[in-house]
Amino acid sequence: MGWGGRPPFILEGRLMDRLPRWADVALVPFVSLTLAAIISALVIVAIGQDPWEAITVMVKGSVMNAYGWGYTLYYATSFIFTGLAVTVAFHAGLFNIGGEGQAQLGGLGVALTLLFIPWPHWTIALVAASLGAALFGAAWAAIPAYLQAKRGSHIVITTIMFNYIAASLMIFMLVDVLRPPGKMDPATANFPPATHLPSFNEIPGLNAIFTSGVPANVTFFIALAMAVVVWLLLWRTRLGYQIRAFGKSEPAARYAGINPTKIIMIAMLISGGLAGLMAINNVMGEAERLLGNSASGAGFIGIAVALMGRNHPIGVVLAALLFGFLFQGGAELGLWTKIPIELRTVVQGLVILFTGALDMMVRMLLVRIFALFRTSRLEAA
Amino acid sequence: MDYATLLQLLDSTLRLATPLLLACLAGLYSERSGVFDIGLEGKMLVAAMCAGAVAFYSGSAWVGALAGIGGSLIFALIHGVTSITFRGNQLIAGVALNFLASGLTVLTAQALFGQGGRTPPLTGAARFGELTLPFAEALRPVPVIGPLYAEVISGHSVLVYMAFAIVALTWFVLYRTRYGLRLRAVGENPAAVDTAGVSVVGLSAVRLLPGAGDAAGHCGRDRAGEGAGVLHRGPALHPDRHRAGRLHRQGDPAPRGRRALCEGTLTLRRKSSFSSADIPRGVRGVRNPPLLRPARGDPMSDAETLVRLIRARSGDAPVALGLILGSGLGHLAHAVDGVAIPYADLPGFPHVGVSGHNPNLHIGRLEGVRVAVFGAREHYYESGNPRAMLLPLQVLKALGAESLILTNAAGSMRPDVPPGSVMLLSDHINFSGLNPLIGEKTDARFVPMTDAHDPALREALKAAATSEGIDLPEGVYCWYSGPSFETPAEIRMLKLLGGDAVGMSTVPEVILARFLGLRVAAISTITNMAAGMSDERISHEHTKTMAPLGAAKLERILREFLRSRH
Repeated sequence: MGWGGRPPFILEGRLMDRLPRWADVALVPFVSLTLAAIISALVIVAIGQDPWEAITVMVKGSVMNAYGWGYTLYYATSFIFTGLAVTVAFHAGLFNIGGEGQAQLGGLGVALTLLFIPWPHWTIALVAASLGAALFGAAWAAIPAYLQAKRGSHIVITTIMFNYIAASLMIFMLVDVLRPPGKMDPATANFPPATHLPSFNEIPGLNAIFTSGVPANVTFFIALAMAVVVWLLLWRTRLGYQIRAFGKSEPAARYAGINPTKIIMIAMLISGGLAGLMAINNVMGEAERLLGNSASGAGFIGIAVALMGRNHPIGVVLAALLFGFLFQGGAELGLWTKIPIELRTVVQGLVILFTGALDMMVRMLLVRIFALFRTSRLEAA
Repeated sequence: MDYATLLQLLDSTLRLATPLLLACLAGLYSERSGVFDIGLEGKMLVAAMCAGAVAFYSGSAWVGALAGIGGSLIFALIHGVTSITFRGNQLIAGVALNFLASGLTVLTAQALFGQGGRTPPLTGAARFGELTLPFAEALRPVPVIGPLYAEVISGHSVLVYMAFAIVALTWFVLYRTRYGLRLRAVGENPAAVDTAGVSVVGLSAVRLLPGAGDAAGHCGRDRAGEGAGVLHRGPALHPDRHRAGRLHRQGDPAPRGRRALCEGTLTLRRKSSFSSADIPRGVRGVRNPPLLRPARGDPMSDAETLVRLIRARSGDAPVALGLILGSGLGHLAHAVDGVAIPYADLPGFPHVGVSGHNPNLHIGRLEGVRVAVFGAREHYYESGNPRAMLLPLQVLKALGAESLILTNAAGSMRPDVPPGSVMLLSDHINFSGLNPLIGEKTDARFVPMTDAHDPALREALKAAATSEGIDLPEGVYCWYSGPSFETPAEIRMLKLLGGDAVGMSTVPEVILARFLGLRVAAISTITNMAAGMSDERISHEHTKTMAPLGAAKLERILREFLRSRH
């Protein structure tokens, strides 16, 4: 990849296209992550703790043994779904911040599917529950999508509002409707044993590695499959092309005969469906009943995952692993050190800030450095 | 509804509307300038934290308020630099700031005050008091209007009046000043303003500062001033919760949106009896310790002296976990690779007289984890002191432990949990009516007990049991003071109340551990069926013979639990 004979930069605002592709794909996120890590370390020092101890505990507890991986992959599975959800909407130029609510509704879909129909085997139950989860998640995204498409209501505001409505709806459903009589816990009854999804320690082959009970389950493979499906959809189908074209420029897409209402609706339905699918992992795979606040923040983390993953399925999977590590490592921190568990929220915030919002700063920095190398090479020649 | 109730309602409406009003004004400035500030939430949190902390240190509500504004200005500045100078996406930057704030506030408050991520309660001049408007008392007898003036209009903190004054000021700034015109112009058509020679970047930056920063700051300091000014984390269970101005916080970003409307939703949550459902798993009710206070008298040095004494023998390395062993579990203590210090060598430690107990403190490695194992405990029934284990737990905390696992021998009230099985405590019932925290002087005594038995530790213990192939049911443990055993009628009553097992220990230690900020989980070995549950005669001798069966299971679970943590 050459420089095309152009000067290294013309205007600061147009620095984007001045970096070699490898630097754009790998170096920029790497530098952003390093910056986030440095600031996190400073925060740990500032509260009087040892950053080295923190990173050791995090790494030890999340990726140095099968047990830790079992949790890291479990969290990563949820984040892949919500990250893909944000990605699809993002390509249509929509910022779906409502993954949290859509995932909670997905949980409701799973619960209703599993509680009231006696499924003979977990495979069939899994298909049905997936449909239920995706349907409920998509339905929850449909209203904001419609309001955006037809009324021009800002999708960010409506999806945020729908998170609150979802939270209240779930409390109502759990407390007044689905709570088994005689129980005080705002949760549904346990799902029938036949619907139990195999965890990694129960899957032949994998159980040689995962010897103790872990929450990671077959849903992980569904998440990976969905990443492939999303890639195919966005880059190998006509619909995906339309979504991306619409996201890049609405007037151009409109001029090309793409129906904005249709694209907004479809992109948001897919996005909501993906967020809803997350419920298979945590509700069906782990809790095996529907609890309050079932999504526990994964919907929001999906935003970070998508940003970090450059809105590409491969990036999303890698970023989800990183956030799974942060999540599990952060829990270990809270358990085994004096560093409060909230540190992981700070780290997440820094990662979003640097990878999502301060992208341009890192690029500008790198472009300067690249230009420096180039000039010195020219002088040497 | 009578007139007095209506007045009361209006009065609290005004008070509760103030933070919302200020946040809305902040939003108004940014919306008018064409920016959708999703980071208001984070700015408010930071403002609340700064205001609470600085007001506490300075003793002045006004200094605190300024600090609150300052804190949120810093966040506004980061937001501005990110989205204007570096042209980052303002929504993303806002989301990032919200994450950052919800973590940083807890970290900072914890590092500064060590009270579980809260700022300390404010008193005196550190709080904004109530202003009584002129003639409020004189006009009170006037029908209808008098009480309205005295009850609703008068008697708020100065911030309430300022908030309403700012509404007028905002109108003036936006519609009657050059700055306001430019600000609105930037919002409506940035290109035109750019053409007209006004710096869009500059104006947007200026708008971020007074707009979001100032009003969000006001909101934060409102929290600090009007109520007790505590940045509070954990379930909304504080007895003082009906006061306005306590910002109830939760640890994770999930429900953080709800916090935006701090007062509004707080009211909602109060009404729900299921507040704990809102709180993310793993962080419910996790509080950190108030200052270490000795068990009796005032030798502040008690715990510290003991820690020095212990470290001289065991080495300085901190322990990760504490373990208190119940009847018949002494064996595990001897497996600890380290030192054993007799309680008799530790002044203030209980004199344990029950046979079958092992009165030593073992410190060392067990399955690779550095632990402190208390071979025996003092029960309430031994000397009538429910605080007997306070000093040992303070020592444990000072040795560096964050978590505590309690074990005990208990009688089962559930036919499906027979003698020889083990039961994980999901919760407990304090049937003794005693409490080890009676007599504590500070507000720290109001320890929330929602999820007192730590969900994360319980999960880990259950996972350990699963991988050892041991059935570990969960149940509710009832603390019966002893030393006599329960009557069959009492057992029937406890069963009706929702108990699963009954015993004479553990509960005071759970309460003390939560008070000290230790995460705690407890496991019972079931040594007998409770009275009337079967025809076995209950005796201490019987307990001692049955305990080993469950004890062997418990030891395997604990070892696997420690291995998985290694």
